[in-house]
Amino acid sequence: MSMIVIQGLCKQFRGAATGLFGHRKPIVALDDVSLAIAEGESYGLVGESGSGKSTLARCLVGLERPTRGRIEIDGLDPLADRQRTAKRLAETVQIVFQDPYSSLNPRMQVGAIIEEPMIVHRSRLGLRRDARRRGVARLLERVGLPPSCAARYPHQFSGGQRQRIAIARALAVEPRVLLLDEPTSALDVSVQAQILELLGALRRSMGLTFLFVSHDLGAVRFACDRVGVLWHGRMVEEGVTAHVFDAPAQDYTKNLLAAVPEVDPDASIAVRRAGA
Amino acid sequence: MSVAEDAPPRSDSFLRRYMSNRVPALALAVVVALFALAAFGEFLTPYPDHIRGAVNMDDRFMSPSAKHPFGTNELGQDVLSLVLGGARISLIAAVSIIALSALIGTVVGAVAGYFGRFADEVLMRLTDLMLTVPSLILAMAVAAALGQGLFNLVVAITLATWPGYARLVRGEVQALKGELFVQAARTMGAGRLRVLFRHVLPNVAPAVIVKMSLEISFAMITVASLGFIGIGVLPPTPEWGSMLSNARSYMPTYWWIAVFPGLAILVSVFAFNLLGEGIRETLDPRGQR
Amino acid sequence: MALLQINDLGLEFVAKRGATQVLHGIDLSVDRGQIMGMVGETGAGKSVAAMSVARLLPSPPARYTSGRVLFEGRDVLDFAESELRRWRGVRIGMVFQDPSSNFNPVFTVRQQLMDVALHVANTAPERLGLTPHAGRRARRRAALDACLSLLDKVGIPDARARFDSYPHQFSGGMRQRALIAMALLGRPELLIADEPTTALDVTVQARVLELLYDLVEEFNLAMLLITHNMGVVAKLCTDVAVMSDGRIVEKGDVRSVLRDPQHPYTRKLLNAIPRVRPAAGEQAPAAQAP
Repeated sequence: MSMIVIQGLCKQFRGAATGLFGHRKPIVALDDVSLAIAEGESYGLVGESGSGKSTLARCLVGLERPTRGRIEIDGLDPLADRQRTAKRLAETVQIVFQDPYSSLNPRMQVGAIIEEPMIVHRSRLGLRRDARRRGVARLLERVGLPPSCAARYPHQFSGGQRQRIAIARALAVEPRVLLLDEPTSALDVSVQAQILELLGALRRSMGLTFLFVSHDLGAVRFACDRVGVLWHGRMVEEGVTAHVFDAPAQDYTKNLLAAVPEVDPDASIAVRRAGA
Repeated sequence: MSVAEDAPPRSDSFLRRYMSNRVPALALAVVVALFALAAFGEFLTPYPDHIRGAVNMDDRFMSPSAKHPFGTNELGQDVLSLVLGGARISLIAAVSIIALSALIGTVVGAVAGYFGRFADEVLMRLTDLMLTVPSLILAMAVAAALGQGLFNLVVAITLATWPGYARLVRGEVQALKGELFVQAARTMGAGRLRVLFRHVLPNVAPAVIVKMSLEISFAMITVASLGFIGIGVLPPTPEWGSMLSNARSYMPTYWWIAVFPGLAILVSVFAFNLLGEGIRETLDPRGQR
Repeated sequence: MALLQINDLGLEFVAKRGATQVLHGIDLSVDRGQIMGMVGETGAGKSVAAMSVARLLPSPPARYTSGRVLFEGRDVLDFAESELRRWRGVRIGMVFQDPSSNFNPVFTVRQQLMDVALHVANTAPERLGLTPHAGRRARRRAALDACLSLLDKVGIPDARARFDSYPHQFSGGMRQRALIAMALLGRPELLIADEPTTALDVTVQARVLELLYDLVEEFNLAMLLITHNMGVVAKLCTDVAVMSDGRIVEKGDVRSVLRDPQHPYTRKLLNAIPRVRPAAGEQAPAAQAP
């Protein structure tokens, strides 16, 4: 069964005017994108800046309203009745942002940050204060942080630790889908690997569905079962990650993969020039 | 790498970081002393009844001495007692003006910046309108219309100062609306009021507090200026500005009648300014850690 | 002796509550034709090391505690301020990470490049093929020629027409190319590039790396490349120095360090990188998911 279905999604932004009285040419961010993600699947969405991958992610969580198209998440239509579905949507989909430095409120203690979603959704979760406190401790443990962290402020943590806090906050409402918007791009390489491992372990143990938006093809290969390649708002190629990366069918995908600098001295410019 | 190992450092408390600089620490001491004088000055003065308007025609124009450290004025009142009594008026007026302005400005700015559109247009045009009139002139006009007295004085000056807070808060709120953690709260399903009160306003507070602490001195000067031109607090209640104004006629022979209230204004304005400067520096995120 | 020779360079940042040592005795040398990659994670001190070579760190808080930075045998740390100005932007060129913040948005590309080119024409006229007595017009002409030929060389098509554009009218890749052209206006011997491709898309990054390679060959440059990306090192560099906690933990030619890392930190760093095309039997746990 599909957890997320997107059909013919289009999004246009009002462009900047050319000249003082120039015509505003709309910018096409998404052009007829369709995809389906099965429950428990990890789907990677790759593309370069301006490809529309972030816009798609923002449409899914209701931060952006698509111009056309249909979205269905766990049977919910987030576009139909935003006021009513907003809360239910938030129960299903949670987002982890790229920059763990600005995604946490600097004036709230970590415990309060992780507890907040439980307060917002208390009518469904039905947790009292002490139960919420225990929940915070359990979530911290789950993302590999000691419970004592709850009394500290975000600026007292490193980037990787903050991203763990952001993940704990996202898990607090027990969502079924995690939308990961470049979750490792702002982190050091060795920390990236840890966060990717953590996410993989959480997905397996909690049966989560991932939509992993990234320009880091290595991370996507590591973390995703299937991948979709966006280019100028269009889905140019889609398939099982290993297949697409090992045998890309489209020219753009080939170029994109060839451009990634691999840690291989034989792939260096010097070697290629010498061989040519 | 075990995450538990590298425990993050604890940051110092606000007060400790503030007090680590010598000048702001001194300014804070002066300000605390001012508040103490405003509260208990009456019990410390040698001639408490002079504050309430009693006169002593036998001891007019006495130069500073052990009996009258700041001398006496044309009514034989002890200048030290009047200066101490005036501290209360100046502080009450300045603090309530700034607190009221910050309150009104924050409400208006938050509504305009957060809810935007129509509310923003209406409220900001109103704010701009208020800002077009020079603040001292506006305060003068309002004070003249309302009549004299401490309360009217506060209302008049508040009317002239709140738009500054509204502008500041609106700008901050608009910037914060784009912050990732505010978006995170929205995707969490948090309601608008929750986002406003939990995520937006607490992050606006430092800017407002800094502006408040820097502007208390401005409010004190405005109070004194209005007192000086005679539309402030009613005599015989001692007020530094009106004391100064009154002393003009006896300069330079009886200099002490003017110099001591003047010094009081100078010291307290200076202290509040340094206090605001110190708070600004301590709250500045670049100065942290 | 190598063009740039760093011996036992130590540096600390002085704060109110004592000093923090950020570089602990760095030894490094870069010669013409060599591309030295300095890799490390956040806080390893790689950027600080590069900045301290150019003496770009404000002092205080920065304080050199030991060592020498020899450029053609002369110690940069002894340079007077006037000498530094003649040296920076002429003998060494610098390229930084974010191409948009390195251009001033209110001036055109022409104004900003000409500024640098005229500085070169005035302080080191021989570098633009001028005699020391060349007049103002000759200097302007030579500066303009240098700008246009370099923009052409870094692959900005139709350079003359785009010269009067504002920086925001350039794409990210073009801005970075223009920045590289600006760094080369003084015909420097040494180019310091601090994360020059980090802000760029991968396809753009690949082209900029090719460009840097070509420029090193053509101008016989020595290059110091600061990056956190081992892939970039593998693609472009001849040599690599791995930094951690203000120390160089391992250095050598790229092939031997990447093929056979000696230091555990280097190994850890290399193992952490998720591969796009993993070798057989490596990684890809997503495939093992239930």
